[in-house]
Amino acid sequence: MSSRMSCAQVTEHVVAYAWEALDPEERIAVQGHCSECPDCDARLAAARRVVGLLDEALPRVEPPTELRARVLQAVASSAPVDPGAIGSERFTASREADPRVGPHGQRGWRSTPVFRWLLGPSIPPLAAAAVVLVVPLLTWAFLVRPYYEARLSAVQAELARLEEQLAADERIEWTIRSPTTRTIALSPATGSGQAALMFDPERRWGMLIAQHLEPMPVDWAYHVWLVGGGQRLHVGSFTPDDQATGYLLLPDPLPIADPQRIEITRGPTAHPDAGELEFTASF
Amino acid sequence: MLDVERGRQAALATLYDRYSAAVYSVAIAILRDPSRAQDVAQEAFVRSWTHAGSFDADRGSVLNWLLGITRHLAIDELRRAWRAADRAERIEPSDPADPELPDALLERKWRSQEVREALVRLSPVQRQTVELVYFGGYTLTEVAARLEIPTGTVKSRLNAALASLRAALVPPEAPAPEAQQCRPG
Repeated sequence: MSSRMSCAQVTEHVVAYAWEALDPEERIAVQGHCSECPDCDARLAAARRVVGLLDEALPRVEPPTELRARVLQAVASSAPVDPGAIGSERFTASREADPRVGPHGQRGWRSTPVFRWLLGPSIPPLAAAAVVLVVPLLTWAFLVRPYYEARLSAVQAELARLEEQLAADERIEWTIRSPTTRTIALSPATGSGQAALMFDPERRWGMLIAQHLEPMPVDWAYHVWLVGGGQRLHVGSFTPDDQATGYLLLPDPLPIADPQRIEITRGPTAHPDAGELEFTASF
Repeated sequence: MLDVERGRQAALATLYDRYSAAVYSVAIAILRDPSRAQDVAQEAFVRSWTHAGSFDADRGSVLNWLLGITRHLAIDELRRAWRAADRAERIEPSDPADPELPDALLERKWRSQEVREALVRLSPVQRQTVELVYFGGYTLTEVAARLEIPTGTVKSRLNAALASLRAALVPPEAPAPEAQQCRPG
């Protein structure tokens, strides 16, 4: 198999890739192509999602309790990898192909050629001792520390984004599956379209879904308001996607403890107050 | 820096607490060896953590991403063990002539009724191929040799099985991407 594949060849292999059934050479060729071809990459992601549903449906087996400490410790001694350095391996990372993993499974700087060279048997003990002391200090001072300091803020931002995503995923899943969730249809005040609020009164989590929305200027959005206790507060905005559908997860906690009504207005993104009422419903 | 480190640890602990059972379940289903499954689960969390920047929410959920990493590592480990002839056993293909999969077996393998029904709807030869690949870690070439059929037939069975599972498990929104044409460019 050639290391470069055409779209037709990749299309033929994409499902087998998702099932992890390709030989390593074919796998690398598919990855290489998908890293440069958004269409094939989308096919790959869609196929993987289906296989992922099987993964999620396997019977749950709780790991031994001591694994938690092992994982936390292992991660504490590992370093974040620059996403740009791992190319198309967004879903997987081959153990054999990972240059950061040493021959005995050691990770990070311990697996670098410099460190393996330092540990080599051919270095005289004295020189080795000097190198072992000086090189790490210089490396730390001039390479490692500046690198990590520069990366820390990026890692922090990524963590915050992941945490937010995790929390949002949990709220969406809960809101959809909770037996106490109520679906409240919003009445259209003007224009067309449909909107509904899925709201779980126990956790006070809500998700608004609107569809068949009218097109609007690029600098406009739908603005969502909660009304209650003498207040009317803006809780978020959304713009319809190319399927004329939009959704908004209500903030947690709700800014109004006991909202009486929800409203959706349509107007300039920069001036939510200036919008016209499109949908409304009572809780 | 200490605060950042504490933040990292807390976030990782959250990730672990939420998904460790799912991750371990995939590893143990493939490896059938608790010790190796723990190693793989640990490596999956390390990989997800060190490669967190490569997570793309448009391609699927965090869980889907994490389980993809886990399955890839588990199958790598399984194949490595075979090459080293080191304990790991290959699963035997089921007999497609069996008219039905026993309900009890399906229930043991899948906790989701929806997935069980979707798998029952596959043809026996499709299901046999999926089992070899999904649980057994066989490649296309290995399945072809094991069942004495052309590689293209294995590929067709996997394609058909995936299409059938997609139809049963994924809500219809857009045409399946496999069926779409590439944009010229």
